[in-house]
Amino acid sequence: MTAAAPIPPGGRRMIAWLLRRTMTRAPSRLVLEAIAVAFPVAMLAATLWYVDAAVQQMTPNALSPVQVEMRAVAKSLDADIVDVSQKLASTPEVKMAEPFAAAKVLIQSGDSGQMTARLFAVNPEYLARHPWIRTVEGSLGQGAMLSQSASATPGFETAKSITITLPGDAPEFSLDMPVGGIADLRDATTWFSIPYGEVQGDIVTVPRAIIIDFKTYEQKLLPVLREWAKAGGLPPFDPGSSELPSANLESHVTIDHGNYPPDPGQAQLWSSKLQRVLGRQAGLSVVVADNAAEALFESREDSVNAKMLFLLLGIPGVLVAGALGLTGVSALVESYRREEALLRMRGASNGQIMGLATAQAAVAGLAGSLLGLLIAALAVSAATGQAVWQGVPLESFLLSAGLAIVAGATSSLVRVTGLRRACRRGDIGERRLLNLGWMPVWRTARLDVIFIAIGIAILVINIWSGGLKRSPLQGPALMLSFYVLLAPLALWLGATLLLTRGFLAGLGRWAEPDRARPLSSWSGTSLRWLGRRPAHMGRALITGALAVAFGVQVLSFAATYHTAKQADAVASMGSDLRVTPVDPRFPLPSLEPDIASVSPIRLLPSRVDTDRKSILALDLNSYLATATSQPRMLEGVGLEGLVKNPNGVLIHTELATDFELAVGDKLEVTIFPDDFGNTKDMQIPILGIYSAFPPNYPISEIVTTLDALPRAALSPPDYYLAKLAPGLRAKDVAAKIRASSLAQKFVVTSTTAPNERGLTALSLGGLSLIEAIGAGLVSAIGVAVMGAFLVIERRREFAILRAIGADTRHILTGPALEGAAVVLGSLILGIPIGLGLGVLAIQVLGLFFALQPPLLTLPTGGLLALALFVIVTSIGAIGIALASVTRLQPATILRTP
Amino acid sequence: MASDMIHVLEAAGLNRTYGGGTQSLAALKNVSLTVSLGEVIAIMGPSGSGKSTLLFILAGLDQPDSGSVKLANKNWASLSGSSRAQFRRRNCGFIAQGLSLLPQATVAENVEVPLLLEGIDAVQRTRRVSESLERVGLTNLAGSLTDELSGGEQQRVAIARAMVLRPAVVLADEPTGSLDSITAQSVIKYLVEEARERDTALILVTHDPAIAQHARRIVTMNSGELT
Repeated sequence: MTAAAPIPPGGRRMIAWLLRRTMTRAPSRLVLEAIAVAFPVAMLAATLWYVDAAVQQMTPNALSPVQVEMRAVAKSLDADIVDVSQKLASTPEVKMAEPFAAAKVLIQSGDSGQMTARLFAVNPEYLARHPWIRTVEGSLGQGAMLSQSASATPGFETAKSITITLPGDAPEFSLDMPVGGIADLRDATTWFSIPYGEVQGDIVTVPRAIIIDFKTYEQKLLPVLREWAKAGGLPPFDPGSSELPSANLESHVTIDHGNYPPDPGQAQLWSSKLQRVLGRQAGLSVVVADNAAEALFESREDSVNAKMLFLLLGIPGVLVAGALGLTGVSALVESYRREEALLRMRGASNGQIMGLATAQAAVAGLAGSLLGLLIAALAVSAATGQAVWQGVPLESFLLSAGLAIVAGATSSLVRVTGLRRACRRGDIGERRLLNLGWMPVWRTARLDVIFIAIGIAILVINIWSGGLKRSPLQGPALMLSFYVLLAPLALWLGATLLLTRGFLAGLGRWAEPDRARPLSSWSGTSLRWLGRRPAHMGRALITGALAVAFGVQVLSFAATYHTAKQADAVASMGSDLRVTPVDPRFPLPSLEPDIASVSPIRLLPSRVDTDRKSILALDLNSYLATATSQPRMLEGVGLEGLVKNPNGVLIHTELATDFELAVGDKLEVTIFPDDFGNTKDMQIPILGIYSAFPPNYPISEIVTTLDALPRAALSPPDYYLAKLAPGLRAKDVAAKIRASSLAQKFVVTSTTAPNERGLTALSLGGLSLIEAIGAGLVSAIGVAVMGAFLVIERRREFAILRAIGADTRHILTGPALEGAAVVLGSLILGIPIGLGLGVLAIQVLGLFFALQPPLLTLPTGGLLALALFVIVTSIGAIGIALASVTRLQPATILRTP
Repeated sequence: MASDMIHVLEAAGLNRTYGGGTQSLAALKNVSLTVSLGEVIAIMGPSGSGKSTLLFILAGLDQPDSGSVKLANKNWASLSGSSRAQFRRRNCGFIAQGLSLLPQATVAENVEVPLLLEGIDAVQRTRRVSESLERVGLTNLAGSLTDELSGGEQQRVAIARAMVLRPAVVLADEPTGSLDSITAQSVIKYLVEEARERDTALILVTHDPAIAQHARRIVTMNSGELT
């Protein structure tokens, strides 16, 4: 306010008038204030929206392996499942509902003996609609289809027809059917899983299966089964059973995944509600099982973890951006003080001055909030490749925006309060502060030491209480004590402040005025003077060092996350390639010279107590030559133990926890529990406990060798691991095999579909880029604020230097040195602190991955880019200030006392 | 003014106008002034008469719209950049009104700065700073920061700094403006004595007759003109 216009009377009108004049006469100050608000708003909104967008991907990821979302299971065979299916299909959320039946039967072909088999009955369209059932040859319309294992059974290899009968005391029944084809049911886990009850979803791998048309089943077999059930021959519906029912009727309900709310927590609630709706729709004779519930529950847990993880990664960015606003206070004090003095001279009251300050803060806050939200929306949209308002539900979008605005308002409030206090202190007070040295609250209250003590205390308490660990109850979901993540936050603040204190103390001692020394050089002189008034450099240095440390932490965390993700992908595969026979009977020919070694992998059904488990049976010698990553052992011995004792077993930590098993115990396991011809109870010594054993996908909870399970060698391998000859690329070799005649008999993959649920499915790349750019900008703007202060508050000093014969180079040396000290100091202090914090954060990250991540992956390129970005933007910022200094008119400045 | 005197400063036909159009204000109107070696001149006049404007133009810190200023036979207009700064340093001491010291520097450092800028070696600098402080009686405060000093002491430091390179002329803008009358007399005494001893021309801008009486010549300005 420089014009001498009289202040109009009145409260609000006067403030509005003053505000208008401030905005028109000092717009740059308002812009600076708005930017100070925009930064924390942008950082918080970007983090929250990114989290929201990332979490939206979790429901589709969680649902992708679910084959049938709901199963309506008839309590008795009297239910009209076709009618139930029609009713269920009429529900708007339901895409389709298909009748399904299963029964334990005997099959015979020609002169072969009778064998038990699982009979499945579906409509022919069912097979076409569900890709996890692969028709190898023929069709259901031509007759009964045999599973590959059934068709490989002696007597059935060339069977043209089969006879189906019922076992035990069933009424007489015989159904002759032509063999219509062969189906690969290895992926049809839904058909082999227990449909309802406590062990819902446990897979019962019966050795042989046939599929018949549902109409045939309904007309021929169902009446007999009903009769048998009425006679008491078939056990009644038992939700507690750990076996497949002898005969059951179901409706398989497919829900369009697009109908689920994208947030896993909401999706779980929605799914549960739909389950009840379908239950009512289906009637009392049917119970509805929610097959998606477990996946959504785990995903919900992970989404909570993801939100916390992202927030705790992003919060330092918000704090440092808020600190930037506070740093800006110093640059504005002089300007506000001058304005306030003028207003008082013209008769403004305290209330009016306060009202004006509040109005100015409100305008700056509003403009800054809008600017921050716009920047955040653009940044997140660019990082995710989708407009943020489309990728995030409106409710979450608005909530995040509201939280960000609250952060901006808080930052404004703290800033205005600080400004008012500084204005009240006046020039004399400021000079007294200069004389006493720069002693901000954090220095007098020793907040640096306190923060470090808090950080260390949290870590010690955590280690004392057993450290970070996985939840024994929730399987892959994690039980994280998230207060632990406050430790890096406290250490980040404490270490930065402590190192800054050390730096300033050293500089201050060197620059002590009492030491009578001649000046050395002009640069040395400028540095000496800098040591005597380090406040503004100190503030910019703290902001810069915090920002750089934060940026480095985020970059190193994201880089290590990426490395760990890649290592997990490799461990998931187990080797370079996976070769799966289309028909288990196909022997694998030699794949030399492209493939150096292969190892057959067998996944054998087993039962521990009542739980079905999968055993990974290794051909140890070939496995050792072929596997490309090592298991993650928690206790006991690993592969070397199996080499010494091939009759031992390694077990997953979850199995060890569930059954209270330890190394040295004997695992009581039933292999082939549903194949009466091969089933066998065994006791195998436990050699070690692992959290991951490659190939990790699909997960096996028991690992042993063919030496321990000779019967396993009789069954064909499920697939082969293949290790490439040196110098070849997996994709090239896979493409070569796919182009050869082998493609008809073998499926070759170079990547698995890893377990894409959970935190490991999240992409941190976009967020880390946003946060790193934000950190770089915060650091540069810290320098710019300092530069603005130099121009505003040291004008007289520059003019005096000019008057006593200093040239432009001399005058600019001091501010340039201050800028350089801030930039270099920020990098020198910030990089090691950021890397240290990265190491700490990765200890938490380790829990999310199958394999232990490396101590730290140094993102050299990213760090160089960050450093370069900080340097270049800071040079730009200080350059603007220096250019302003050269334009100062000494005569104008020195004219005033 | 005797014709055989050596003129260290010659200003001729200086005009300076601030602003433009109807808002323009003529601060200097065809001002000419010559100052001889060792001469002490006081420029007096009411506020806004153009005294300070003239002083800044004479010191090469402001530029006239027309006219010329020759200091030690060199026209300010012919100098620019670092050569202008170097010329000012060697030939023109300047004492600004109010706070004119560097607050972050000690008393000794304030005096040493022009010597350092001039590239004088450390031993010489130390000796000359000691001599200068001794002359103004501030030896015991050499290591103090300037805001620990009284107003009079501060102005004595400013005098020592202005004189340390033995310039041809020292220009002082209200050097005692913020001091009480007793301190002001003491300070001006130091200033004039220093100038005489070093044979340095001294141009004082003041509106205090008691200060002006120390000058050999008093010129008065009114509405931008020397009267």
